[in-house]
Amino acid sequence: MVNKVKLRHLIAIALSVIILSWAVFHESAVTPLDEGEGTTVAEAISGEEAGYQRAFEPYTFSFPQDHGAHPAFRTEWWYFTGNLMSEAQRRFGYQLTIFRIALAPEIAERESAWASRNLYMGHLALSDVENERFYRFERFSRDGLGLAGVEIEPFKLWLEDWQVLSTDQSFFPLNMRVGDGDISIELRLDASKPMVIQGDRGLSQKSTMPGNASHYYSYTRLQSQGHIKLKNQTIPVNGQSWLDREWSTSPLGEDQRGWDWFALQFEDGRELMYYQLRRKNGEVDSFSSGVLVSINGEVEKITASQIELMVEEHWESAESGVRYPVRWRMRLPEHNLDLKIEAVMPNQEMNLSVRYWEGAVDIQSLGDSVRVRGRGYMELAGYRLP
Amino acid sequence: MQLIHLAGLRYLQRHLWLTILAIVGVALGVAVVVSIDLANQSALKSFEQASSALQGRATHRISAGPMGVDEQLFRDLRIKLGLRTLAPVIEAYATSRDDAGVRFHVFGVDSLSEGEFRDLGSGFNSGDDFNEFLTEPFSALMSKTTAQRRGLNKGDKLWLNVNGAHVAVTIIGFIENAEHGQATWLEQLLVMDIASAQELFSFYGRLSRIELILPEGEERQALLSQIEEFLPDDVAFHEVDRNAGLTQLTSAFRTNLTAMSLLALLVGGFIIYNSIAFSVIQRRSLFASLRAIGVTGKEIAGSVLVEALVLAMIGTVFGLVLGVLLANGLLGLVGRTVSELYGAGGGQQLHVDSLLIIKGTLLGLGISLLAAFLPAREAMNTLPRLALQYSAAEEKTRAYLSYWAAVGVGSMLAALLLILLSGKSLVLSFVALFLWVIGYVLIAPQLIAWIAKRLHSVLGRLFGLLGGMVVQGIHRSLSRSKIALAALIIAVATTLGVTMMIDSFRSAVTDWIGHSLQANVYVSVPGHNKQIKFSALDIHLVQQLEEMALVRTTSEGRRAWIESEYGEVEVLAINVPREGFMSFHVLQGDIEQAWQDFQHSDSVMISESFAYRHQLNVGDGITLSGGHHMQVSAVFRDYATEQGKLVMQRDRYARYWQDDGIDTLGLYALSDHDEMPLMRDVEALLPGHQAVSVSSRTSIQENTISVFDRTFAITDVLRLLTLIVAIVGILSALMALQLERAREFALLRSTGMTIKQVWTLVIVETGLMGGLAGVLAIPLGLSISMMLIYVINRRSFGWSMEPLLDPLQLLSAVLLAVVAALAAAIYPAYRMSKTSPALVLRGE
Repeated sequence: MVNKVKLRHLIAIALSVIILSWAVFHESAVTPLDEGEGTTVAEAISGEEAGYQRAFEPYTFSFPQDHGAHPAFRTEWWYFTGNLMSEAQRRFGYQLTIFRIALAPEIAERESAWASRNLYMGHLALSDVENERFYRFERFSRDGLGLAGVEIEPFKLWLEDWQVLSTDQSFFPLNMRVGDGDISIELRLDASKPMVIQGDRGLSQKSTMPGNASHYYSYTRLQSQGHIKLKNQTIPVNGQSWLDREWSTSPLGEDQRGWDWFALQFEDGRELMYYQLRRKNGEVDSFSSGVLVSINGEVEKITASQIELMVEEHWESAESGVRYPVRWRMRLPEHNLDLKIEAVMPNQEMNLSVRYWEGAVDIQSLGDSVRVRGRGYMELAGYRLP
Repeated sequence: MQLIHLAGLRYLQRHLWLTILAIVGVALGVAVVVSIDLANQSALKSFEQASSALQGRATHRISAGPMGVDEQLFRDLRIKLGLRTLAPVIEAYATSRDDAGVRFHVFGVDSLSEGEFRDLGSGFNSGDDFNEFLTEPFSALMSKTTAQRRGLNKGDKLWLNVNGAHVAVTIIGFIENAEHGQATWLEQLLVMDIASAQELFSFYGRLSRIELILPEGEERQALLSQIEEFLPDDVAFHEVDRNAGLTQLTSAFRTNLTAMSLLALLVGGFIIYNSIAFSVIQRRSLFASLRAIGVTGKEIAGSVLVEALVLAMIGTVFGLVLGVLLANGLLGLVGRTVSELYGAGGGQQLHVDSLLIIKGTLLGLGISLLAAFLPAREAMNTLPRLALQYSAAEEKTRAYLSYWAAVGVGSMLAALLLILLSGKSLVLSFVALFLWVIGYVLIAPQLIAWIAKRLHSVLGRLFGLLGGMVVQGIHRSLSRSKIALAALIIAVATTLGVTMMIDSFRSAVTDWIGHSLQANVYVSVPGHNKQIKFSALDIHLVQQLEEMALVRTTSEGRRAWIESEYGEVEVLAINVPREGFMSFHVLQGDIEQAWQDFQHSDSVMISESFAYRHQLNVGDGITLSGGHHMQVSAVFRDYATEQGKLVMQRDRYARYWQDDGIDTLGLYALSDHDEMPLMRDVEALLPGHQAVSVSSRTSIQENTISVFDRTFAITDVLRLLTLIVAIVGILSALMALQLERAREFALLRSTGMTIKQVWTLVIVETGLMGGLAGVLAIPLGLSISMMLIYVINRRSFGWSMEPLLDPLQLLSAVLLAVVAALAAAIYPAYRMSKTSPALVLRGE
C-alpha cells in the first residue's frame, strides 16, 4: 500500500496548488500523507505559474461561458454547500466540490482520447446531525475520455457519476446527483437571489502581490429540494444551498498560513460571506474580506477592520489530532451584529488527500444586537498538529 | 581427550586424503542440491514476482477479441454503472531500436485508477513528474536497474521499434519497489500513461483489458449479475485466477526445474551417504582392535557418530557456500531460459531463503549420520573377533539382498500402477519416476550378484584362477560397493535417459520446423504483441513484395489471442496455398478433408497440446468470442507453444473479428535455389519502408534449433554436474574398497602373485564393476527416457514425439561407467603394488 499512499500524496501536492491559490496555504495542510516525504508544497508549485493566465484586473463576467471551465488558469472550483431538513425536522449538511487542476499550461495535440490537460478532484460530504455521523468521499479523474469535465450549453459539470446539470437552456435550475456506495444526494437547486460578484468587480485580491488573486462569484441562496439516500432509507429534504465559483493561478504570500471561511444565511433573508486569512505569525491578514448581501441582493463589502472574530471553543480530531476552532463569536459593530457561530456537530473534518474542516454551522445573535438566527457553512483550513 | 577419540583423530590424520574425500563428498552432495534448488527457486520467484506484481489485486477482468476492449466501456462502467475500483490496462511489447534482441514490456495504466490495483506509483519524485507523466506523450517509468544497465538517466530517451516505426520514449522516473526488496520483476518494464501507450501502439480507442476489484460475498454476487447484464456480448468477463497466469506460463518450466532438483537430491543424498559410510566401514579392523582392548561397542558407536557429525558439518558448510556460488552461475542459464521463453525479465537476483539452507544442512547432516549409524551399530554389535573378519559383513549383506530386491520389485510395480492411475497429474508422474528409479537401484545389487555368479565360470575359463577371484571379489564386496554402484547407475542412467529424451525431442523439433516452414522468405512485424493486434504489415509493402519477380506464391499470417470457452487461446489465421497447408503434420483427422473444411466452413485445426489439454478430438466444437462456433477438423503437431493453438482461415478470422491486418507474409520462391536471391531482393526493397524483420527459412530453422539448444543448456550443465558428483562418489567408494583389501592383496602377493597380477586383478575387478553398472544403467536409462517422453513431457507440454535411440549413447553410457570405475582404481592399485606385503601382514 506504500505506493498507493505515495500516489495520493502526489495528487495531494498537485491539488494543494488550488488551495494555495485560493488563499494562503501552508504545506502542513497536506501533511496527512506527506510527512517526511521531502517534497514541500512550496517546491511543488514553484515555477509552475509560468504559462498560465493570472488575475490582475477586475473582470467582466460573461455568462454562460463563465459557468464553464477557464483552462488558461491553473485551478478552479464549483463549490456547493447547504443545509437541508427532512419533513420530520431531521437536519443534514452537505458539501460537493468539484476542483479542476491544470496539469500543464498546454499540451501537444494528441490522438488518444485519454490525453488530458486537467485533473478533476471531487469532495463530497454529508453530515447526519441527528446521528452525529459524518460521511465524506473523494475521487479523482482526468478530463479525457469524457470521464470528467464541464459543458456550458446546457450546463453540465461531472466527475464520473457525480453530476450537476441544468435542466434546460438557462443555468438554473440545476440538478445535482452525487453519491458513493449506499449514500446519495439528489437535489434540485434554484437561485432565489441574484449572483454576487465578489471582491473588486470580480477580482478577489488575496495578498499585496499583483496576480495573487482570483476571479470569484457566488450564488448565496439556492432553494434546494430533493432527497437523501442513506443506507436503505430515502429521505425527502429541502433547504438552502450556496454556490461559490472561483478560478485563479497563483498562490499567496509565504507568510500566510490558512483561513477561516464563513458562508452564513440568516433567516431574515440576508447572507454574510467572510474569509479571514491567518498569517504565520498569528496575526489576521489585512486582505481578509467579505460581503453582506441584503434581502434584495444589494452587496456591501466587509473589510477586516469592520469585523471582530473570536474563537470560543476548540475541538480536537481523534483521527488526525488536529485542533479546530468550532465555535466562534463574530461582531460587526457597524451593522449591530453580534453572532455566535457554532458547528452543528464537531466532527466534520475532511481528512482526505488535502485535510481541512468543512461543516454546517448554526448562527444565533447575542446580547442587544439585531436578533437574527441562521444556518451556514464554515471552512477551516491550514490547521495542523502543534 | 579420550583414547577412542584420539584413535579416531589419529586415523583421520593418517588418512588425510580419505578424510578430505569424505568432506568433499558431503560438500558436493549438499552443493548440488542447494545450488540447483537455489537457482530454480530464484528464477521462479523473479518470475512470480513479475506476474503477481503486474497482475496486482484485481479480482475480475474484462477482455475481448484480438482488437481489445472498447475504451468507451470503461467510461460507461464508471459513469453509467458507477463502478469505482476498475482500471484500464494496455499491455504490450516493444523491441529496442538498437538491439533487436531486447524487448520491453510496456504497461499502460491510468495512474488515477491504479491505487487499489498495483504499486507502480513510486517512480514519481514530485508533482511535476506526475504531471509530466500524464501530459507529455511517451513519458515512461522504468526500473533503476534496467536504466542503469542501459545507461539511461532521468530525462533520457529510449528508442523503440514499435510496429516497424521508431519511437523515442522519455524516461521521467524510476520505479523502485521497497516492498519486495528487489526489483527484478520490474526489469524490462516500461510503465506509461494509458494515453501514451495507446499512442505508442496506435491502439486508439482500445484497451487490452479492464480490471476490476469486486467486494467479497453477497455484494459481489449482486454486482456480478449487474455487470454481466451491462456488458456487450463481444467481451469476456472473468474472475482472475490468482495463479492461472503463473501456472500456465511456468508449468513446463517448473517441471523441468523440479525434475532437476529431485535428481540432484537423489544423487547428492547418495554421495553423502557414500562418503561417510566409507570413512566408517574401512575402519572395521580398527574398531575390532579397540573392542579387543576393552572399548565398549557403545563408545565406539558414539565416537563414530561424533566424528561423522564433525566431518558432515565441515562438509555441509563448504557445501552451502559452494552451492550458493554455483547457483550464481546456474542462475544465468536458468534466467536466460525464462526470459527467452516467457519474455519476462529473467531475474539475476539470488533469493537465498532460510528454508533452503535448512534443507541443505539437514540433508548433509542427516544422511551423514544415517550413513555412519549403520556401520557404527554393526561395530557395536559385532564380537571383536568377528569384526576382524572382513567377510562377516558380506555374509550379512547377502542375506539382506534378496529382501531389498523384493522391496525394489514392489516399488517398481507401484511406479507402473501410479502412472496408469494418475491421469494427467504431473506430480504423481514424478513420484512414479522416483519410485521406479529407487526400486531399480534396490534390485541392482541382486542383479549384479546374479550376473557375477554367471560370469564366474566364464571368467574362470578366460583368466584362470584370477578371473574367478575377480568375480568373487565383486560378489563379496557388494556390501561395500552397492551404494557407490547405485549412485553410478543412477548417474549414468539419468544421463542416458535425459540425453535420449532431448535427442528425440530435438529430432522431432528439427523435423517439425523443417516440415512446417514452406515459404522461403518470411517478412514480419518485429516483436509480437499478444494484446495488441494493430501491429500489421503495411499494405503497400505487402503488395510490392507479392509482386516481386522471384515470388511464385505467398502466404499470409495473423496471430491473435481470442477468448473462448477455454480462456484466451492463440489463433493463427492464415491464407496459404494448398502446398503450404499440406505441410501440417496431421496426427488426427484427414488432411484433405481438413483442407476442404479450412476453405469452406467454420472450422479450426487444433494443435496437439491444445487437444491434449482440453481433451478435444476431430469433430468437437469450440466457441470463440462473439459466439462463433468452430468445428475441429484436424489435430496437428506443433511444438511452438505449450498452451496450444488454433489455426483458421484468415478471411474468416478477418470477417468475424474485424481485423484485416497481417503480421507475417511468407514468400515462396520460384525454386529453392532462389531463396538467397529473393532474400537479397527483399532486403533491397525495404529501405524507406516500414522497419520489418526479414528471415529466410534456413535462418529460422537454425534459430529455432539454437533456441532449443540454449533452453536445454541448463540441463546439460546439470547432467555434467551430477556425473562429476557420481564419479567422485564412485572414486571414493572404490578407493576405500581397494585400500581395505590391502591385507588380502598382501596375502596374495606373499603367496606368489606378481605386481602385474595385482594390477590386473584390481583393474579388471573395478572395470568389471563399472561395466556391470553401465550395463545395468541401460535398462534404467531407457525406461527413464520413456517415462520422460510418454508421461512427463506429455503431461507437462501435451507434446508427443517418437523416441529416438542412438546405439552410440548406450555404448558411451557403459564406457562412462567403466572409465569412472577405472579412474577410481588406479591409485589403490598403485599403492598396493608399491606396498611390501610383509609390512601389511605384520599387523596380523
